[in-house]
Amino acid sequence: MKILVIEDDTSTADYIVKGLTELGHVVDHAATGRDGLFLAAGQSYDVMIIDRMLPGLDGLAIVKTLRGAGVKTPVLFLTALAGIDDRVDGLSAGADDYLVKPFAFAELVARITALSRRPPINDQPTRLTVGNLEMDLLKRKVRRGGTEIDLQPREFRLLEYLMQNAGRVVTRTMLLENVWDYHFDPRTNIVETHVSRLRGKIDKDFGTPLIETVRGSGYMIRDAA
Amino acid sequence: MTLPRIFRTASFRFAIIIAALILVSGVVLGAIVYRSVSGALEEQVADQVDREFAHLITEYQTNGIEHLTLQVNRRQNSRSRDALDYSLQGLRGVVIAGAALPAGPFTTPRIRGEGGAPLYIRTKQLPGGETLIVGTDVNWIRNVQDKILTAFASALLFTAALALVGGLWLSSRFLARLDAMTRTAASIVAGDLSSRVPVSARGDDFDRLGTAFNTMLDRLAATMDSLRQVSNDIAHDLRTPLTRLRQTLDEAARKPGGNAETEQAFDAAGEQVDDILSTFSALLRIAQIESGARRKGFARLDLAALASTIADDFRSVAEEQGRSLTFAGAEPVFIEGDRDLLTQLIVNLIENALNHTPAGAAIAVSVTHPAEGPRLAVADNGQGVPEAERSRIFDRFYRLETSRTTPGSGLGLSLVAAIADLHGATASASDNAPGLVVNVQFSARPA
Repeated sequence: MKILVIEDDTSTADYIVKGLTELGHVVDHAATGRDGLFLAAGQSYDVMIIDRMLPGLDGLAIVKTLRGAGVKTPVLFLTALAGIDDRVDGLSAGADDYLVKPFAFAELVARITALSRRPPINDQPTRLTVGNLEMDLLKRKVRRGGTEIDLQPREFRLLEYLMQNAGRVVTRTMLLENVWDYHFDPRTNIVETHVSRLRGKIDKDFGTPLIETVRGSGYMIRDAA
Repeated sequence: MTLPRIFRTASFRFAIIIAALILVSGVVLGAIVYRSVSGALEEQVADQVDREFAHLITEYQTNGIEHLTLQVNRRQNSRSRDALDYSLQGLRGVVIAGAALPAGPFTTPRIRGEGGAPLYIRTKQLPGGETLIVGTDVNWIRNVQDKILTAFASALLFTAALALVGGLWLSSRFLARLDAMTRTAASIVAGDLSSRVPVSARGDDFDRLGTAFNTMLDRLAATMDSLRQVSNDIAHDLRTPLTRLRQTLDEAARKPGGNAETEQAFDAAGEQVDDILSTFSALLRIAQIESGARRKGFARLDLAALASTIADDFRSVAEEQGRSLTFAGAEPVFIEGDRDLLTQLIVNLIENALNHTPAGAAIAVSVTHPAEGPRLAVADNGQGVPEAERSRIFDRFYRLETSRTTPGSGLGLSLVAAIADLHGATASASDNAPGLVVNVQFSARPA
């Protein structure tokens, strides 16, 4: 992937650029909002990682300008603020996702991977398939190998999110935000408990497990076969 | 302002004291004036009488009794009104010449009231047996004395009345200004740190006091602000190096070639840094919620539906931990609120109950709508909290002695209290006999 990082903090920028380069991505870095906007407007990127607070031109203004100019590249906002209104402000400015510093590198990677492959809004499938697991989004039904599986609404939403991101790692925070709509960190293992129950329903009686635990990152559903 | 209250004021007491002092000094002054004026007048009269008397005695000694008789008669007959009376009397008070004055015997000259009119009289028995008497009616001195008394009495009455009225007037003025300060202090106590004492341009004592009071309040507000600022700064500033530490640990953990033990150590260190960071995040979040900035996220929502959904999500967590979780509340209960924050409030209460009850405990979440307003309750049948400590569980970093070893930052319930406060609701803990029930009471609002 070709990624643009607009970040003024040298340490964080190095951390991101170095890590993403190691993973084989092509990374451009701008330390100021003005330079970043110049790069973003002039070249084509798969994902942009933009710090919220930048000297000169701040992250919100950059995203607003880009969206105003018709640039649809997915944007991940970074911020040091634990601001409770920042997420809403960032998303309404046109950012696609939001990550509060500090973050685990795996979290950043999982999020930009999810962003870069996000299907267009008007192209949402009505049916998801992973191996012999099928989900009908209209009838709200799940089958594996022809056997109908009864899921609670939250388990259904969890499986739907995993299947939408099939083959990609989703982190605990991504699940909390997208499945539960929790924008804080619960101290209990609500995600682990639900994943474990879901596994009991879709994996336990079917030989090959589909849901994998990715150490230090999160979960991934894929047809390993 | 009621009259009894004026009478109770310090300034009115001062006015009364000043009026009393004025009265006392007026009485003393009156007595002095009365005595010295009376003395001067009497002295003047005595002088006149003494001179005439001495003159007549000399006449008698020089020219004899006949000449004295002539002189007494002449003087008595030619006397003008208010002038002296003369009398020469034989034995047994027979009047030889002049007027019929009381004869005495008077050894010393004095003013005497004989049958009404006071007189100043000098008498002397002559060698021939006759008595010479010179005297005068001093009733007019009495009149002067009466006038002095009347004048002083009316002046004193007027002064006392003025002192009282003035005292009342000053009291009400002082009270009005003191009331302004009392109101300011009361609103400060009620939490409005921006309230200030009104100060006039006169620069009088009250203005100086008010200015000093306001300066003190400015300092207090500045201290509060800087305290808030400092704690935010600390949280922010410590986040940056911790963030770098987290990144370094993360990078080290991703380095290939480490063994499983090193990886585990890095992961554990990372988790510990995450714990510290999440405590700072919680502190900052509480600070932001307390500043009231989140109100713009308010919308109408069904508290019962929200609590029910969260209870459903946590039922499996509770079961896995060997506890039961139930929800009660069928009717929709609508409130104005921030969905994200209320979600966190309910989750924190449930997690608090999960973390501080023994295995086998039953946790009951309910949403009701009594007359006083919508109420969310999370009850458990665990070991509860001693009554003395119940109100303190909402304090930051407050942890019961018995729960020191359980995980948690000691901020969960502070966040609950802050979120409740933002919604105009009150979070309180009470005895569930056995166990603890935390109620979040929202205020009743017109539908």
